[in-house]
Amino acid sequence: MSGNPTFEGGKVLRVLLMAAFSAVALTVGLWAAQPAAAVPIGSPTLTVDTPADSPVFQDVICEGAVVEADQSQPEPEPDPIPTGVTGPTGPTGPTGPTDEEPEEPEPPYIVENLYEYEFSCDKEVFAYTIVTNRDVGSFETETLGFLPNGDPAPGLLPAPPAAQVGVGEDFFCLGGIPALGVGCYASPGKTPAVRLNIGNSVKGKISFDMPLCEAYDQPQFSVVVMTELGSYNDADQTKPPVVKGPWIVTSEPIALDTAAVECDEPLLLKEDVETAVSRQGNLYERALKSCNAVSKAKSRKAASRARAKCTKATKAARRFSA
Amino acid sequence: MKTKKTLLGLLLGAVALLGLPAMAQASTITISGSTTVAPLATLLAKGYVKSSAGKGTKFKLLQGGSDIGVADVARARVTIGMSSRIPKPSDPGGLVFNEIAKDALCIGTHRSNRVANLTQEQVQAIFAGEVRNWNQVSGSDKSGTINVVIRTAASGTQDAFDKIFMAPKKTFAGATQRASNGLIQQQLQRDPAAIGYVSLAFQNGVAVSNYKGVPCTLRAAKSGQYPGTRPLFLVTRGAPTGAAQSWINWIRNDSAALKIAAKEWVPFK
Repeated sequence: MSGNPTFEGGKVLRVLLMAAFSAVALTVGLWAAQPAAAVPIGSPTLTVDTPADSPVFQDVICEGAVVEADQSQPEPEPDPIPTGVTGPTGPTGPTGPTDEEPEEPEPPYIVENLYEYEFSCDKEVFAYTIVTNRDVGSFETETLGFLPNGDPAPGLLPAPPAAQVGVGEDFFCLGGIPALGVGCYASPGKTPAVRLNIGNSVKGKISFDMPLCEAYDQPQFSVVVMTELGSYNDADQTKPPVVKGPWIVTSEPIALDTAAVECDEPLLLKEDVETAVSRQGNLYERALKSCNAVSKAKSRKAASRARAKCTKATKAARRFSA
Repeated sequence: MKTKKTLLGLLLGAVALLGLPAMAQASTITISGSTTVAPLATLLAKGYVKSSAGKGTKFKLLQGGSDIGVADVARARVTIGMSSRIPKPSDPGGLVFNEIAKDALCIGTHRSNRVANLTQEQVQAIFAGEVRNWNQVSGSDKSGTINVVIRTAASGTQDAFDKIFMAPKKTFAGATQRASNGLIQQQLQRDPAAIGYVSLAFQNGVAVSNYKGVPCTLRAAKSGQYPGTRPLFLVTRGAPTGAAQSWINWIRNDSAALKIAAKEWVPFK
């Protein structure tokens, strides 16, 4: 009954209580959904080793490729006879055949769908990300820099013989499993910061959950590189090496050459497209036939039935093509 | 009746809001720590995700060194810390070191300076800086200053090396420090005067010496003959629970996991 103040006041109170409850629930839910911070922040007083007037954006050219990784095992060198051990003809050794047969070595574990990427750039690289359109199953957790002649890149070494922390060119990789890529940062060992020098290349490996060609499209790989460094934490060795952001300069994704891993006949692509085209054709044909029957119907009832069939068939054809 | 339905709907919505983040976090395992354990951990993560036991689980992996893994898991920043050293008295309390495999530490030099065998006394004298020239090392036909290469302080590998090979002596302050197995391997590959230590998985291109008369091979490590083996751990706050427990159990018991670990490590069983 309108005009009853007690009734109206109770209703308003109920609405207010519901709103308050929703707000609290939403706030608690959002708070619980926040991911825990996983990376500590570096010291605010870090030295910045990039020139203050260096440009924010720089063009960078990188070239690289992806190939299938070579997992063939080198012939193992025979185990050297342990020194100090008497041979079988010595006084403490057995003189006859033993019961134990030498163990057959187990076949080495092969990582399925393992590929190697390599790239080099015309700027120094402090970090990079490999992005792909396939689910990454695992990745090499440390990648190294190489000189153009294939030798390991020594990096920028302080003069010996003083105690030093070596700064060979290498990257620590991190990321998710599964994920659509992997990120790697140059080990900021000590001053000066580690980087991949211009013209040197970095090599790394990643493996995938499925064979590359069991997909709807060709495999694609890109690299995004960071060519400037903000600052880094090397004051405290018990803390993880951190680059304090923001990243100053990164490239756009640069495509890597995938000619060596292109799919000649990607299974899903070929089979599924053929099936889809054929099925789609059938559905449209059925829809057309049903809809034509509407104008040819001899009675209202027949027309109504034909119209219903036409609608159903049209929806099915549209659903499939979507 | 309508009000009751509305209230019930709001209540269910709030429960869903609170429940969803918890459900999402339970199936994501975050890991940080040892650069030695990291390669094994990524392979095991991949294998687990593909298995029926690990379906729906996701991993996020970061490195930095054993000390960092221990510190991160102690502060609940990650679900699991990777460690290639045994617990230290200075570690935070309440941590459980769950062993998952063993690894061998190999003493290596440049290929042009292969030393067939090193005794413990020789290793200690070289790495403590008491012997500084290759012509003082029996088994080496080189001369010149020895470049001793070790790991940085946060490294569990350095800790393990100190305990297994050096105790009670210590590595000397003039040694070159490297942040990872890969960097030491790289140094040994290109520096004819260098000597260092690497995990079994990082031997490629390095001349590895016998230690106490036993070759540093996977076979010798598995048989227990090689004296330079050390356990590898996944560290948890308290006994592992939930997704972490499931993964660790899988690593220790599943045949597929043991096969993965046998690639370059000594599996748990």
